[in-house]
Parts: sequence; C-alpha cells; structure tokens
Amino acid sequence: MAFLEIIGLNKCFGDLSVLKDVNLTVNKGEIVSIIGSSGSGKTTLLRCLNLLESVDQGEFLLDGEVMFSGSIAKTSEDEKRKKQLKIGLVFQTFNLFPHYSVLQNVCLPPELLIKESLSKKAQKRGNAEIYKGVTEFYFGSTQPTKDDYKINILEKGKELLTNVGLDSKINAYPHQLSGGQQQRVAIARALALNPALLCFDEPTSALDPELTGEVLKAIRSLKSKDRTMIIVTHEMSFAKSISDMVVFMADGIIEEMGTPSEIFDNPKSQKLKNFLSSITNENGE
Amino acid sequence: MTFITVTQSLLEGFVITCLLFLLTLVLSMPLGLLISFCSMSKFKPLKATSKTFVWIIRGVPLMLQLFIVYYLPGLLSETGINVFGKIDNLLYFKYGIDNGGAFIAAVIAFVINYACYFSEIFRGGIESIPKGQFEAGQVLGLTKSQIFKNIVLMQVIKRILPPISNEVITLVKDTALARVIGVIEIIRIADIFASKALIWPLFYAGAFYLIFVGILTLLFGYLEKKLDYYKV
Repeated sequence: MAFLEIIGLNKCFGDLSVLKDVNLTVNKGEIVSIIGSSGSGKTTLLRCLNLLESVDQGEFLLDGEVMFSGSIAKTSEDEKRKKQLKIGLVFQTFNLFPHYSVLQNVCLPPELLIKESLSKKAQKRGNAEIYKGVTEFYFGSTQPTKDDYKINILEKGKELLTNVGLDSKINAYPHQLSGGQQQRVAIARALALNPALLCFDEPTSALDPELTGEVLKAIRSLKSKDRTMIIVTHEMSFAKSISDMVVFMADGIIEEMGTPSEIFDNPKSQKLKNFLSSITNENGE
Repeated sequence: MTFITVTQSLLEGFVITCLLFLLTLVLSMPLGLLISFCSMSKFKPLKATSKTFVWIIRGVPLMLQLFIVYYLPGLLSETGINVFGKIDNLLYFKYGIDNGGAFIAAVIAFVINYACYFSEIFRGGIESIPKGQFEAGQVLGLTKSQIFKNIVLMQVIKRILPPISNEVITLVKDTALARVIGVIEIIRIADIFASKALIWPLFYAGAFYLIFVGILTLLFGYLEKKLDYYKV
C-alpha cells in the first residue's frame, strides 16, 4: 500500500492558482525529488504537506491516516501538532535558533515535548497521542521521569550530530558555523523527532557552491528502507543519483514523473525538455 | 541651611522618585506586552481598539494624563469629591503617609502611558523576528506558547534592548512631572528650597538624576554584552 498519497490537491493564493489538481503516490522508503523552475509550486506543495499552508481542495494521506482533507473543517491545535510531528522539514534558510547552541537546537524540541507530556496539564487534557512517537523514539517502552529525561535526549542529540559530522561543534552557536554546517544541524534537528516523512525545501540553494557537497552527502546517508523523503532541489545530478522517482512540476501541475533515467534521459514533454536544456545551458555545457 | 539638611531632604524626595520609577517599570512592561499582543491580534475590533488607545495615550501630554487620572474619577462620582484626595486622607490618618493618593494616581498614569510606548517597542521587536523561526517551531510540533517563550522571546529581548533603555532613561526624568498632582518628589523638594531663595539645591537635584541614569546606562551596557554570545 502506498505510504504517502496526495489526491487532487488544489491551492490558490487569492486569484493565483499555485497547485492545480496535484496527485502523487509514494511508497515507504522511497526518495522522491521534485524539480521545476521557480514559481512552479514545488515549495508550496512541500509547505502544504507540512501543514504550514492550508489547502483549498484535495486530500493527503500518510500511512493510511488522513493528514488533510478539503472536506474537514479546521483541526484543533493538538490534532495539527500530532500530524506535524510525523513530518519533518528542512528549510532552505536553515532557520536554526540563533540563541541556542548546536546541541540545544537539536535537543530543545524533544525536551519541550517530553517535558510537556510529563506535566499535569497534558495528563488532564488527555492528548498523550501527540507525544507517543517522540517518547518511544527516546525511551522505547520505558517511561521517562522528570529527573532524568534530558539525559537520553542529550545522548541521542550527540549521536545525531555525530552522524552528520558535527560532533566537534556541539557547543558552538549557529552564527559561528558555515552555511553547510548550519544546514547539517538543521537536518539533525529534524531527525531528532524521528519523522516518518522527511521533506527538504531546496536544502542547498542558500549555500556557497563548495558547501553543497557536504549537505548532499548528509542527505544521502539518511537513505534507508524506513525513511521516506521528498526533496525539492535544483541539484540535477544529485536528484538523478539519489531518487527512486523524480517529479517535474510546471505551472502548478505535475507535468511529468518517472524514474531518474526516464526523466533525465528520455524527457517526453516539451516543457521538461526546455527546462533541462536551460539548466545545462546555465552550466555552460 | 546646611549641605547635610538639604541632602537629607532631597534624598527623601529621591526615594519617592525611585519608587515611582520602579513601580511604573515593573507594572508597565507586562501591560505593554499585553497591549502589543492586542495590537497584533487577527481579531479586527480588538486590534483597532488597541491601536486607538495607543494613539490617544501617545498623542496627549503625560502631564495632562496625570491631571485626568487624578481628577476624572472624582468628577464622575455622584458626590464630586476627589477620589484620590479621599485616599490621601485615609492613608494619612491610618498610616501617617503623606500624599499617598496622589502617588497612586501618578503610578496609574505613568503605567498606562509607558505601557503604550513599550507595547510599540515589543510589537516592532516581535514582528522583526523572521517568519522562519515561527515556522521551524511549528514543524517541530511546538505549541504557540512554547514557540513564543523558548524561541521568539530571547531574540526579541536582544533586539529591543537599546530602545527599551532609551525609554527607561526617559522615565527616570519624567517622574518629575508627578509634582503637578502633588507628589513630593525630588524636584518638588528642591523647588521648595528655591521658593525660599535657596537656588543651588535645584542643581544639586540634577546630580541625583545624572548618577541614577549613569548606573542604568552601565546596567544596560552589561545586559547587551551578556546577550552578545549569539547573533540574530
């Protein structure tokens, strides 16, 4: 069964229709790259999936659960948070928290969530569902206690930062890091909540060219059968080598999708051909 | 009049100045934050009310506001007797405190006035935080209050520290206005000396302000340095 299903998604900003009847199915563990020129709706699609934008019409299911449906009225904040925790997003501009150290950036969200789950207020409200996933990720079947829940989180945070090659920078502040390092912290921060679906919004677009490699390498290392990823990118060679499926968007619709070789070596639509040739021209090839 | 007796008298007034300053600061900041939230509310009537209120308070002289707070409740009451005058008497006969009613009226007027100025500084600070910071908190599943408390607030504080220090220093000197409704603060006391043809206590009073503002300047410089470890 499909892990992620997007059915008939429509989104307008005022009169401007940004997404027109977008349909997409992704299987568990697959990596999907979304390419296309600016203004084609790639980022908006990603923001809709992360519930940062509301959708006018359509449905979006994750692992069989309805994340969004045009027919459902506004969801409560708790409900929305529960859904958002299943999806991670790495921003183009990193959006690290400048007043926290690297390790704190990674550990703050799980710490706040676990702390909240242990509070009397949460037990009264009975919204334990929200914290279930995060608690399991850090404590397995054991129950965290007020005194030592931070230890597990800090350990895990260090491990996640080691995985992206930043174990020596855990006490640095974001402004002391290069763009590539900041983006790798952002990746570790997203992983700290163990999302079932991880989205990347042009993760290397704000970086100097020589720094893109380290970020792409970090993303590549995340590939596993349990982690589904959607990557909006302008790095064609990266998209070609990492993806199971490539989606080409133009003017708010999915113009063409297929395996990397289908898209890059045998483009069918004229728009995709134009797009690919304009990109190779840019590179002076 | 010796130097020592003048110093003693001025110090008594300066205690009132400091009290008025501290009470205003402590009470107007939370109220200012509340007003700034109202000014940023998506609920239009609340936003409009809040903006109009800030316009009126910032648009009318503080001295006039002191008079209004002091006289208006009495004028509106059935008897027409000044409410704060009554409090004055009550506090004097019960606790032996002089001009207590006028002092309370001054605190109310100052708190409302400074809350409005602070609210605009807070609003500017909060709105200057990049949207991405709020969005990052959202996609990490945090609640609105967690985002505000843990992510936004510290960055806002760093940004608004210089304008806040300006406002705080202005407040130190604005307290002298309270004398128009009968609060006996330092300038009022110096003025009493002046009316007896002793002018120099007026200049001497200036030294008290200078030293106080000097300490505040050092304090704010220290705070800014403390927050230097990150950049926003």
